[in-house]
Amino acid sequence: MPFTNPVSNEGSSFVRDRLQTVSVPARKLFAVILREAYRGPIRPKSKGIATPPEILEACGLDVGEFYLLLNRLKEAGLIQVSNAYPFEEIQLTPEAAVEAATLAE
Amino acid sequence: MARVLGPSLIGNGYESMAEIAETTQQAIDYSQRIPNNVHLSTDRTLQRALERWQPAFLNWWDETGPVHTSSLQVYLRTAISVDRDGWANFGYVRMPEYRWGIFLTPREENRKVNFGDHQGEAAWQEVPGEYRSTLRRIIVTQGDTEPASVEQQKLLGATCPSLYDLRNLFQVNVEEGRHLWAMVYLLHRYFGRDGREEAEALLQRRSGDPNNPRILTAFNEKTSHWLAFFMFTFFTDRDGKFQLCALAESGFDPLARTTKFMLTEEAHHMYVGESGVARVLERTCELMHDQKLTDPSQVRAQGLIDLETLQRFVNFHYSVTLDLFGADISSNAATFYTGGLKGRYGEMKINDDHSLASDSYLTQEVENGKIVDHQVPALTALNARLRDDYTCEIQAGLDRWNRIPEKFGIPFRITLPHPGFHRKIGNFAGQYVSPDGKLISKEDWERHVTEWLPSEDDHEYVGLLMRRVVEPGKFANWIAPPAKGINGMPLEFEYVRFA
Repeated sequence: MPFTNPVSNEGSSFVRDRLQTVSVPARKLFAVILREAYRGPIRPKSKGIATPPEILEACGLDVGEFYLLLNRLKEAGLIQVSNAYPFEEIQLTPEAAVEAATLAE
Repeated sequence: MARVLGPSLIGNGYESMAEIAETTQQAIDYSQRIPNNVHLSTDRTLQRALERWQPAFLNWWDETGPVHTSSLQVYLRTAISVDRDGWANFGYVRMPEYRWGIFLTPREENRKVNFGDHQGEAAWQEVPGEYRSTLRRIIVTQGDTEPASVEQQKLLGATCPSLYDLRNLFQVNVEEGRHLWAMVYLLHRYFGRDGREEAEALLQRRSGDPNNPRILTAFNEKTSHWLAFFMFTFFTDRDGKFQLCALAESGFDPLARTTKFMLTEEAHHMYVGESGVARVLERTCELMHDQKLTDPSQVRAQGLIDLETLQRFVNFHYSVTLDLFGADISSNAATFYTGGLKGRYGEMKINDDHSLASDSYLTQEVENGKIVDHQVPALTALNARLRDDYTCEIQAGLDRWNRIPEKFGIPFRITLPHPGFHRKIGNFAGQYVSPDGKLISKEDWERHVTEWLPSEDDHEYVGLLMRRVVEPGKFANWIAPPAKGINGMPLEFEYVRFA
């Protein structure tokens, strides 16, 4: 599937800018979260929400590593996490979600 | 293949889609009879040998794999690349038709042997003659654990607590089968006739068979119920992880590359275990909170698993897994290290000379009726070190589990017993050590053992809870669903389709 460059005509992107502040593994986790939030198999759930079972079966991350990178993405303002372990629900922040529809096509 | 973020967002040198394409040239060739990314078709002799082994593997799966499952359509992941992002596709497949294959991570140019006597030499692409039998033994021992766990778990489908859990069991099983393929590839490719004979023997041994058992004791025990399965995948698969991590440092490059990819799949197996126990804890603690229960018998009266029983299973599975790391003091481990065959966990993140010739390591042993600390040569204590690394990670998992009783205001906490508790191998073998680390007499041990380890009654009670639940969206009473869903609505996803 072709990649749709989310960078706007003005050349700025909230997601791009924030992803620059985190490591490559964290960026890759963000990509998995994005995909699972819009397509993950567990139903019913609100649109744009991904859960740890969906994410962890779709990537090769250890649980400990997953939670570390999740914190980095939270600190970067890209995701927000609600509910308590192990039933967390992971959602893009409103600013990231604005671009999400384009990224997740 | 699902869309992934492109290079301009992932960055780190990916300047264009062409670079991404270059990276994904390690994509797996599924047009071959044996899917692989090792150009098997260019080695006709090896390809034929593996294609001859393949029917024997399928027979083994048929005889000892999950029973009565050949017609089920299971929602499984299949590796499509060895890159960590976007590396798997999901779809329904009948397990005998699962595309088991051979996947190695890409070869690093100029990779070196990073520890031991050969430090700085180019990593070996063929087996060094002086280490041939040692490497073969390492690979066979690792390989033997893979089919063993499938054999141990083959009956669990009959008592699954949900379709979601049934699918997870099958996912673990098929991938352990793939791990067997990974080791068999190495044996066939690099060890000639001896390797081919060992590959056949891997399909002949059977978990629990008194005449032809699996090599390691823990892999001859039955996994008789789902609590044992979750504990096994959390505790014992994690020993596997640490062994694989040590082998991923190997100077024998094909072994390192094989085990690195196995770790990608192993990560989810451990999550299955961790989240399984967490969901049991959640269900139990929620009930205890809502009904203000404090006594285990009250919890059992509701058909749930009480916290004290969970603790006994933790004590058992942790202690038998510690034995898998081997003797605290081991000349074999020293040989593996100095030979550059098996490193330490996170070898390259350790700031030392990677030869350990003059280093020491702290271990514990029993001396004059007391547990005492000893500094021993680090080279001889590599098993102990790997076990300690393992324990750190296990403790982190327990810390996550303990957020659950804390959330519900329940004071009970799951703890790890002393590493000397219930040990048959190493410095504490033959000793009686209580979970809190006291040396006790045999008589005291026998008086208290049913408080510390699962009894027949515990196994029988847990076994009675195991009733098969296969209605989509439903879960057994003793375990919470894996996610909340919306407004308490049942989770729906048909992870397994019955014919």
